[in-house]
Amino acid sequence: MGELEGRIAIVTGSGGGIGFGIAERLGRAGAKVVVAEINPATGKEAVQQLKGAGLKASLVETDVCSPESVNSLVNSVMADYGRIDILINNAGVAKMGPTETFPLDDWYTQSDIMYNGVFLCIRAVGQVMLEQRKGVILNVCSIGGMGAWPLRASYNSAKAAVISLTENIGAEWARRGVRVVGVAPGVTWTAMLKNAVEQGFASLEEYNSRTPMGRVGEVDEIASVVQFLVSDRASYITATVVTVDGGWVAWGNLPF
Amino acid sequence: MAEAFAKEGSTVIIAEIDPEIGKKAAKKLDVTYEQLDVRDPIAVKKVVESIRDRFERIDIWINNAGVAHKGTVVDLDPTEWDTDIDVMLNGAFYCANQVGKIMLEQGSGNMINIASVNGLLAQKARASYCSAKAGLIMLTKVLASEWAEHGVRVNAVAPGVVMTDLVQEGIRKGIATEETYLGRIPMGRLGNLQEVVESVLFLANDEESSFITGEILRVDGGWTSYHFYHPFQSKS
Repeated sequence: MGELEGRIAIVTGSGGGIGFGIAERLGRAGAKVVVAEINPATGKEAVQQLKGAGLKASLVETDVCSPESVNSLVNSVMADYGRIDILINNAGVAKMGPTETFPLDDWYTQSDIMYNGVFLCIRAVGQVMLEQRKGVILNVCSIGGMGAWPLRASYNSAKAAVISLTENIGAEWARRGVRVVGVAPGVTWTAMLKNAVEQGFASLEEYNSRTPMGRVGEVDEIASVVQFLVSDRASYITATVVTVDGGWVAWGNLPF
Repeated sequence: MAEAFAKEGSTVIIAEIDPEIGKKAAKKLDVTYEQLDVRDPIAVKKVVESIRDRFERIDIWINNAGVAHKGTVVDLDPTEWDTDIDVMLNGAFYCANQVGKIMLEQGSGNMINIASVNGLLAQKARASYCSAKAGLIMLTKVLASEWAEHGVRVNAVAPGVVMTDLVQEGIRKGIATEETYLGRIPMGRLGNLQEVVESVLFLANDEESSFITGEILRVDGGWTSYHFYHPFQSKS
């Protein structure tokens, strides 16, 4: 029996990338996974794949930027299962470019999905978890939220905000049975990274040489940490973000 | 910790300065005991080499030895300062210095340092303890940077206040009160030993934490993130 047997886990943006990896990992640990995805095509495919692997999964089409959509996600999960044990705030987009000409629409879209969206989900699901006096919320942050990278002011500041949400709400709800934690992945091999490399925002060689381990991370190396943090093994861990980056932020980045 | 690793199937070596305590613990767990004063680099070298000769490899090394002298900086005796730095910082360096050679040669290994929230946040009258733990945290990051490309991971856990004999003694002696701790901890309770052990096991497990190195994992009930000291109501 998996350590998350029977737990109800919502994973936002789990149609692909790290989100799908987390959904798969939690499913293998026994959780019933709710794929909360804005794109019905990738969402359906994800659920099919999970079910095909013998895991329990369902799709609730969700726009995390919309309070109505988030409320209907919560209502639908409550109607199906009667409780919510785990929420993974993973949905994100990567908008990059020079700040002085950065499209305003991109700025608003990015902060809506990656910052406001996380708050909306925490607020709505938090109401359920506080009533249960039990639950774990995990935010997928980024090492980008811990320092400066050129061309990424929008992405990185949204992720910094999510780190702060993790700490603040984690402390606020700690005595009420709800843990709020985060993971900060380093550069991870996903479709999003592949796009960034193809668009010329970075090269894989540069990423590899910037990482003490000399390589980028694999999705399952992030998902395994997520599983640990939402499990009972991490019962005294809250209001903190665990960095999973092959040593990136620890190292001062001087080659000698 | 030794008990947990033995339960998981590891071959455990208890390296302890006090032979009475060390032998007793080793006998209870049916594991090996090595007498070790980590303050002595020559002794560290001997013990590490003897472990390698006997077991052929070292997969996991945990720097856990610690002491805590209390006193404001003007009251603290320099010998007390030296002892704390010697045991918790110099000792960890001596061990890394020797164990590192073996792990780098193996191309694999895990070192885990037991740090503390006191290495991240200052506490009055604990200059030597806080400084040693802060030093240990930076040592963790430098080791991780040096060894990552050779397949050796180095991480630390930073426990908050855990109900150990040392904490119990502090409460009994009136140095600390449980109530003050509880007001300072968002979760409203002290940690227990098992909760720290689980995090150490996680960091030692290459199946689970293979991309984590140079990380200081806080197991503190929210302590270090909570910066506004306004005690929580006891029940809310």
